[in-house]
Amino acid sequence: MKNILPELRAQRGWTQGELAVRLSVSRQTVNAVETGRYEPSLSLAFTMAALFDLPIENIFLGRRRPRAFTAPEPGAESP
Amino acid sequence: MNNRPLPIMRIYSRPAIGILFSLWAYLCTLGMAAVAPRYLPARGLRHLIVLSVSLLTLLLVVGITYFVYRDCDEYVQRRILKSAALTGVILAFSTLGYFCLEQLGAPRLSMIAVNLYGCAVFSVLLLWVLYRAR
Repeated sequence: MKNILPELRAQRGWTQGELAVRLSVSRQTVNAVETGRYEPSLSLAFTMAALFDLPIENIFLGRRRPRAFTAPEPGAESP
Repeated sequence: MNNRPLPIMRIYSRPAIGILFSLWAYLCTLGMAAVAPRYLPARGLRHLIVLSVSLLTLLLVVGITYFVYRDCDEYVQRRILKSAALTGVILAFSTLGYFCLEQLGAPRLSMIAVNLYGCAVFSVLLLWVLYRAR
């Protein structure tokens, strides 16, 4: 999943270490999230969103879309 | 910009010392267990002391690993779990490899060697994870 954390961090002039302190995680975690090696948990994503005062979907740009769900016809056999 | 030290440094350096200490204590008790037969001829008492001391230090290692895991952030926790899985894979291949060597004439090893090897591999991987997370 792509994200704009490096841009947001650069706008504020923070290093990865400074962002890590603000998020109460290790610098390695920030690095892994920024480079896309690790997708953060929901709680960490919410903390990031609150720190940058942005909605989560504006920070993390998901590629996957949910599959369209079509309700089965009444009386139709399930596969 | 304040100059306070990064709390992460404080969090991860102490557990690393704890891991090294517990590993050292574990190796010491295993060494004691190895030399115990020379100095403790009584069979029951000897086994009680050797087993209880070894198990207590092993519990110390497990306990410290648990507290390290609990205090780390989510990414480092995942790395620790990966280290545990990697230790299992390394142990599986090593024991399989040594089994083949045994068939070719290598001396039979005690199970405590597998225990020691696994403990050492996991401690090294754990220390590496904590070193990288500093």
